[in-house]
Amino acid sequence: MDTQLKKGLLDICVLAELKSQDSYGYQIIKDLSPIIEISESTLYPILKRLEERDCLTTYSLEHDGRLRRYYKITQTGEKKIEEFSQEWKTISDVINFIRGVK
Amino acid sequence: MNKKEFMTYLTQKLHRFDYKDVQDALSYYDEIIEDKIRDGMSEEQAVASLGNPKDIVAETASEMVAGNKARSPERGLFMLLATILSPVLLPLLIVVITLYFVIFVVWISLIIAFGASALGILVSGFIGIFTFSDVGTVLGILGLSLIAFLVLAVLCAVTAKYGKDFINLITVKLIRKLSKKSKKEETA
Repeated sequence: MDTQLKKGLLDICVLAELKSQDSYGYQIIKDLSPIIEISESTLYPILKRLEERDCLTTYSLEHDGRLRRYYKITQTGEKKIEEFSQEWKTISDVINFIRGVK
Repeated sequence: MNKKEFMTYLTQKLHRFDYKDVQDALSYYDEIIEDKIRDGMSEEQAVASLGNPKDIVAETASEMVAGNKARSPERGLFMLLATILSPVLLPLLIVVITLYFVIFVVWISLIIAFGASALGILVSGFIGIFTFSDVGTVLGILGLSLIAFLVLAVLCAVTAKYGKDFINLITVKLIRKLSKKSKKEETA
């Protein structure tokens, strides 16, 4: 998949995962892997970027005697998902056009 | 590669980034490796499943570079200034050292000159006493000698008072400045 397009999709996928519940690194990978190709090292910069843009916040919880970092979506993040959903109409129009040409 | 080796590798490869950012990345991978071990993987398997360490470094650093962008032009400017100024600073330093040296030499030769002339005039005055009977000439010569001695005394007094400071200025301050500068360059 085109990297630029994939980057954008991954951001939304991560936000969507967090919309259902707060999650942590490994869980996000496990949940998203069946839908889109994602590795631990691709997830890390995405999480950093989303945090920098105030789309998510983090907090730590103790789990089995060690700290685990949880990610929580913010209002800005939820707005991002909505914006993407609204863009869907445009995207599907484009895809239909491309298919029609073929 | 076990977890410790992987962490050391990451730390080494990311050393030029912000310490806090690197620690953050390390704890992220540490957590995932631990989670994978809990899921039944061996430590080596968990590390290997993360992928090629080189790619991991590149991907992990991708956001760090963006985050540090604000700092890098400043650093670039500093390096640029250092490169431009070093051919200017070095000759300037040589000029300053030479200037100090010249002042030092001139001062010493002044003392020697006045000392020698004072002695010379004094001796010639004494010889004059026996050769010329002209008291006025002899007194004049002795007077000149006295003036020369006075100047010599003033020069010596100034040397005694400020000579130490002057030498300190050259040796201590200059060397301290130089070592500071080289230390700065080392850290940069």
